[in-house]
Amino acid sequence: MKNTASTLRERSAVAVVDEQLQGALENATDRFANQKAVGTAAVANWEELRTAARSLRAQVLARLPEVLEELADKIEARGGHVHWAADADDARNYVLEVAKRHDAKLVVKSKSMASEEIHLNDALAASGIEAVETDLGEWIIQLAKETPSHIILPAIHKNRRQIAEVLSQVADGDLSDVPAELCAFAREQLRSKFMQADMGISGVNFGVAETGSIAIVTNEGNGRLVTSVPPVHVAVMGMERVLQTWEQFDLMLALLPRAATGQQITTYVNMVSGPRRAGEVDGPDEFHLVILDNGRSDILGTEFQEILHCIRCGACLNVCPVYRQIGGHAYGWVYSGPVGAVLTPLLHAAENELQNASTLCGACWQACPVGIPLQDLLLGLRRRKAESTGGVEKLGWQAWSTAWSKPALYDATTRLGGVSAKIVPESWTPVEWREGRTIPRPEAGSFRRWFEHE
Amino acid sequence: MSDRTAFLDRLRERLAVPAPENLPHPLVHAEAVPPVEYALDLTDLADAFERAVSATGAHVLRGTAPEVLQSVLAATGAQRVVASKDAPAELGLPAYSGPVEAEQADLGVTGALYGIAATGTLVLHAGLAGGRTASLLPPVHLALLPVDRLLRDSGELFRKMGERLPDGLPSQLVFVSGPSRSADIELEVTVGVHGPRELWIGLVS
Repeated sequence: MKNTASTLRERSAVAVVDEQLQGALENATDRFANQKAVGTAAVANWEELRTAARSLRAQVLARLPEVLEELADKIEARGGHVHWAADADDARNYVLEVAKRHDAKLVVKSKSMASEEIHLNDALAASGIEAVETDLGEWIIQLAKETPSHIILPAIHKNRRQIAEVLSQVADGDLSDVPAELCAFAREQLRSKFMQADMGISGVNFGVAETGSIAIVTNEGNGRLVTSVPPVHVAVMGMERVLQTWEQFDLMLALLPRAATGQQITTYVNMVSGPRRAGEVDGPDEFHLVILDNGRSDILGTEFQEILHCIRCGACLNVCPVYRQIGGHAYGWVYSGPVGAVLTPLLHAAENELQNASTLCGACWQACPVGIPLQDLLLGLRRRKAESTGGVEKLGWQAWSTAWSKPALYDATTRLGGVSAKIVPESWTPVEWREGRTIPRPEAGSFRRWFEHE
Repeated sequence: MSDRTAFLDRLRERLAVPAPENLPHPLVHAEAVPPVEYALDLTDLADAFERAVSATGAHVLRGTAPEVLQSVLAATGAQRVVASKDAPAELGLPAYSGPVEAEQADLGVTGALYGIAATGTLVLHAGLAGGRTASLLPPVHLALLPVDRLLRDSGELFRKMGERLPDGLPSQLVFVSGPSRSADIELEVTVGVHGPRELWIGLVS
């Protein structure tokens, strides 16, 4: 079911009554959260690694310009190309330019949330270029014309029958809903795309500056195919997704798969350092890295900077009591769950309610493999919003704050409150307060007053 | 170049005043990257490797390269075989010519630069292999790994790059841990989505 309502509250209301979504979310998030516990048990010093990872990400960000320069210089030294994209438009135009130069008609893509953030597929389609997602979940939602509902499992909201219906659109008849058969169909269909594609576009899990390399982790192998078969490879990377050394990468590699799915390691870890070299019979002739800002630099130097430490594992989604009820589409943008609730208001100002999609329980912080204190960031966003809100609500809070700072006024207002509660009808209270509960009626006076007189 | 300058200048401007400290949950400075400590029995590398590989759904065979190849051909019934440049020379297999040839094969035979015991991982080097797709396009992949090339864990590679990769990073270095898999459909694990659906590792002496 598509969730196209316009506010967080409306989208959530749609999501919580969708029984299939509820079942799918519970199943997937439980499974991942449990598997993470098993996966992390194989690492004896998990907490030490988390704490160190937080510091190391901060150290890299503090030196971000130097780290990015080293990465770019070393890529260019190997004959690769680096484009510095200030915003989405800039990034899209560069990719289109590269595609046009090669007269590209067909592009294969492996998972890149950054490319979804900048609506790259739409831009390619508008130029008459077919861009096919090759991550199975991403391909399914591409055909269904939807957006991903989970960082790791984009099509989690669909059951096998729905997936069979979606894939049957490109088949010569109706497909059965047996996952193995659907996968076999996907393999065959997408294999011919890989072989014919003019260009491959990938994301980047981490850039590693010390050797001018990028690392891409997948389980399916589409990340390898996209970067090995087509003659041109373009990688799109959020500027904060860099590390200085392979030592740091080793740490991240221990954290990421275990936090995401509980796997000890993903099936494939693909480390690319420039285009193919002499004596190699395959591999792209051209390698391009697009480094994307698109609002990230606005977050640097603010109290929200730590959100840029995120390694996109999805662990926070799996433990969030809110995400587990409303799913990814309710967040209205590419990034969902606790990380989305922080990142989206910062990058995409139109969505400014998402910091309310939280119970502030802190489970996300506990789950985060790099120790991002997400609930502090959510509180910070709420405070920022409250400070910028004016009008009646602000006056109301100020009046209440003043009244209750003075004992005499506190006494007077609580007595008044108790009395007026008996005359003010319940229908005058905000409807959200009354949904699903009976408003308790306040007593006529304060406890102290009662205690003194008893 | 001007894009680069403007981009980096913007970052420097934003970083000029450091981000405020998180007082409730202050950052604890890490001077060095702590090594990953695995709660695994890694005393016998070959045994540990075999256990970890089996856990990924791949098969391990021990013996000489020709013996292993024969076993895999018998088990899979593969007819068309491609090999990369780093497959053991004693097999007498010519190096493949490109992705089109690899795509038509039933079996891809390659060497491997290292094996990682903690996770049952093969380390494939595109420069030594002379390419990337012999281990990727055919539905079955056989990698022949000398048993003396086993490393305890990935830290043995990443923390000693100068020693392990003296000529630097190749155009592509890939870690392979098991056959290709996906759980995108209702979390049911299926193998062979895009990459090989069967992985055989010959631990050769």
